[in-house]
Amino acid sequence: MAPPRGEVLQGTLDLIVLQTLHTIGPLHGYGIAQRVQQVSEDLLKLNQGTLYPALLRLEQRGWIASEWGASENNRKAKFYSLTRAGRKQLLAETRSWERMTALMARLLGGTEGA
Amino acid sequence: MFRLGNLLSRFWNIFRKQRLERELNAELQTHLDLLTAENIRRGMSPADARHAARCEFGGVEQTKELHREQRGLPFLETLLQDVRYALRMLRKSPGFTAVAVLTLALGIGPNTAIFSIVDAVLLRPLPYRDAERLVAIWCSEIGQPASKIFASYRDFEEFKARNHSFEALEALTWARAGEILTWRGSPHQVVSIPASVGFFSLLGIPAAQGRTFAPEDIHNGCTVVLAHSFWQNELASAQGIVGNTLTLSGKPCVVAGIMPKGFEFYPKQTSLWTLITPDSQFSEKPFDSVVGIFARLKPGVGMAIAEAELVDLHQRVVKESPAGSWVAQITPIVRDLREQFTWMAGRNLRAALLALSAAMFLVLLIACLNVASLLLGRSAERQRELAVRAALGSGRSRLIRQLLVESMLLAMLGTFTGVLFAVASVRYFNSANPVELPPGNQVTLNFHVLSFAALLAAVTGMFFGLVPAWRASLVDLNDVLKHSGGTATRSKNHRTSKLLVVGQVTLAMVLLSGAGLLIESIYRLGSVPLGFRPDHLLTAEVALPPIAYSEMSQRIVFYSKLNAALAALPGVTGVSLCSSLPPYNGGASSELAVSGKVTIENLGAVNSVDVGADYFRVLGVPLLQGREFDSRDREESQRVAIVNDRMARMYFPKEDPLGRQIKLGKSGGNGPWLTIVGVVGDEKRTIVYQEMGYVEPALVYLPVAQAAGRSMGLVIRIAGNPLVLGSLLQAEVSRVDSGVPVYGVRTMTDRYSEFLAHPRFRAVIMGIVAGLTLLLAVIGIYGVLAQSVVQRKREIGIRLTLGARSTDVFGLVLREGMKMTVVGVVVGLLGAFGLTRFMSAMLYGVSARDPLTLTVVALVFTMVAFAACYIPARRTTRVDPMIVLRYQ
Repeated sequence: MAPPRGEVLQGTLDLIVLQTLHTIGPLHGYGIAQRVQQVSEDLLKLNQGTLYPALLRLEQRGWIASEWGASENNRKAKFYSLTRAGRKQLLAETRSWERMTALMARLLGGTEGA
Repeated sequence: MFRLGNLLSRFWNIFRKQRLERELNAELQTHLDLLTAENIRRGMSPADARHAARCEFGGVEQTKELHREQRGLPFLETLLQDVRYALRMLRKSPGFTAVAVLTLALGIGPNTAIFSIVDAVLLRPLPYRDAERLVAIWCSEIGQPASKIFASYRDFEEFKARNHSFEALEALTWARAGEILTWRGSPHQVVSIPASVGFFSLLGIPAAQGRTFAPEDIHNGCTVVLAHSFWQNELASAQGIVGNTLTLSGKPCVVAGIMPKGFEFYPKQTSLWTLITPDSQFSEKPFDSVVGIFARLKPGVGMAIAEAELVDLHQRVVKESPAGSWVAQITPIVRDLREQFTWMAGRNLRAALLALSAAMFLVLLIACLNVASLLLGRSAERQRELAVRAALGSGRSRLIRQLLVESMLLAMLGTFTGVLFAVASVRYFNSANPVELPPGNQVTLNFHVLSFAALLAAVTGMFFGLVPAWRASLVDLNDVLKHSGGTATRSKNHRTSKLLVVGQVTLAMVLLSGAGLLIESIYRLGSVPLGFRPDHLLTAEVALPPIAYSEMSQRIVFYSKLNAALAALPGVTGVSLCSSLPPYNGGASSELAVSGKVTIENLGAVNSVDVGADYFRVLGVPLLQGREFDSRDREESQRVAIVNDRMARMYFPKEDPLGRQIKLGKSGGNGPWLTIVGVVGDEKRTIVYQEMGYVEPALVYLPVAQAAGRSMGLVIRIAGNPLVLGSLLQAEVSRVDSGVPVYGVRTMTDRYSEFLAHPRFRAVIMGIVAGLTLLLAVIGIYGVLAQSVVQRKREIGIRLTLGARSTDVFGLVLREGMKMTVVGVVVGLLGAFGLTRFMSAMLYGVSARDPLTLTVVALVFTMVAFAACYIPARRTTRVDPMIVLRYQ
């Protein structure tokens, strides 16, 4: 029951966005999209448009905040940044991912050995 | 926490749609621009770059749509869309909207108003602590289980000391004459209610100022607690009264406190509560003093168990009572306090409120039927519109939803208008006080009542909207869009409308019959001959201060002086006194001894009333035998009595009562023997157990000159308007003695009409209700017929062309209308037969199936309905067959 290629698990996308804002700081939607593509090296094939409802969802949860500013080409752009709650959420999710990956690694490592 | 915030912000977003839309567009555009610029930098041509950017980005519209859904509340938004559309539709046909909204308001407004009374009287718990466990303890006379009288004070002492069923048990009594309170020199007639020390803590209500009774007050003379309304209205909110001393019937009393505003117990007119102390008549004569007992049951103890215990305790009281005491003839009963309050306010209050609620419910039903048939008519006209919407992709459920939203909107508008009406009527009710309601809760449009109205709105909206919506959603697209109208659906709709009208007529007939019976009853009750002439009679009451008037002779002197002073006033043709003014049969009831016979051992054998000389002439009671009281009857002369016809027939059948000796009480008792000197006609009086009707009690009249109490009623016959004298009365009484207050100044007619307040209130409300339903039913008949004439124009045209005369066509339509009416009236009459018997306790002089009333109602209804049919039928005569046939 693996997700079809190209579809991104919601939680994964959320985590990537939060992590991106954490490492780079305030960024507009285009910037985030570029970064996501860069990081995933096309493993995650997503339409950049799908990013926007996700951003709105994160903002509604209070994990990120937005502010209008000027983009590189001097257009009006919305800049997103991590909030305190978002930082906490990122930490919690990172931990849970780490636990999960460790578990998977142990599990898969075990099968390989057998 | 943030979930709620999220919901709220999404909710607000609905109203900031335009701005958010602009921002989203700007944001996405920037993204696309940046992507395009990047692509150009990589060497693409601008056109290719734009295209590639679009591909990379994905569907802009889908993104926007997803964003919108995430941003707002999609369900709410489509709903809003429906509401907006519905509003537009309602605005487009203002006539229809106005009729529908008003009809609903007429259904919902009165319902809400009556419910606010039901809520205050029957639903809301009394505003006392643990009110659901509060009970009233009465006694009933053995052999008369329906009677309710006070217990003896000794019973109270015994119950309080020994019971195991109650958490608290206290006494309070209103079986006393008026008292006089003097504060800063001015006398006030007060309703002072003696209560036992724990009375207020039983109810769990502390004083607003000062405190309520405390155990140590018992040994400190007289202590009182004031009612807020009395303190505010009569004592002008005197500051510093708490802890101070005022004079109550000549005795100094300390004011312990003032109860909070709105606190009331029975009777509602209470001015103050006095503490029952060991040196009072209660403790001194515990078998002869009567009190009401109020108590709170322990949790889990039922009223039956408590009553059984009290019956046992009462036996101990009977054993230690003096021989022949009345306490042997009574037995305690335990009743729910709220139920008793309701009963005391009006014997049929509960039943009447339920009947009125049921009637209001029928009105609402009629209103709903009316609106439903209006909507049905409209949906026939709107078939094209609905078909177009269906063709453009509206699903059936969406269509139904759209139509339901419209009817819900109508229901809400109707409810809103109705609630405005209810606000006005509750305000009127509270200021006019048309009927006495039990103490405790005020009638208000509170949260309860408003929720009830909201519920009505929702239910009625569903009720009258669902059938027409369902019907309308069944449109056959092809049929409707191809032809000018779906005749099949139309005639089916029309049949449904006709059924709805028959239903309305039926319900209206039931209501009209009920109203007819109630109105007939109040009319008959009001025109019963009372045994005297009640017109041009002014009545009032006076109370004498106990210390200055402790001797009978002092009281007699006062009364005769007052009598003379009043008789000298211009316009006065007669003055007399009566210790128990009509109509209430409130004289002292007692056993009766007739010399030479066995005592009649019935506590209610006779009632005795003290009256002045001339009483029967002034009232116009016929003297049947013997003489009236006059100046021959003095304190030291032979003790005399006059009896009424009823008494004479009961106790002296086939004998001449004149000259016979009687005694009030047992023949061995210490009362004087009285010689009967006259027989008079019967007065109609009222009793507490019977609301619809009078009694003719067996009465013994004693001359005031030989039996003058401290409180006395005045009856004054006046040539002109009695109330003109009313304002002079206090001055006249003060001229005789400035320490004597006058109260209860009103005409005799008013006194009887107060007795009729409850029945009249019911009859008026039912009359209004019946009028409304008649109107609604007539509108229903008219509407359906008018519609039918429009729809049948073509048929009528053909008939006329083929040689039918216009009178034939006229008759055709008229018959259609009258058929609905007659079926409705007949079914309604059957319904009235079944339902009105529940009202028999509220009727007087007519049976629940009174043929005359029901016939008149049916005739009136049919005639009005005929008028409603006549107008649309008339229209057929104006149909020009040429025009119709050419046009359609």
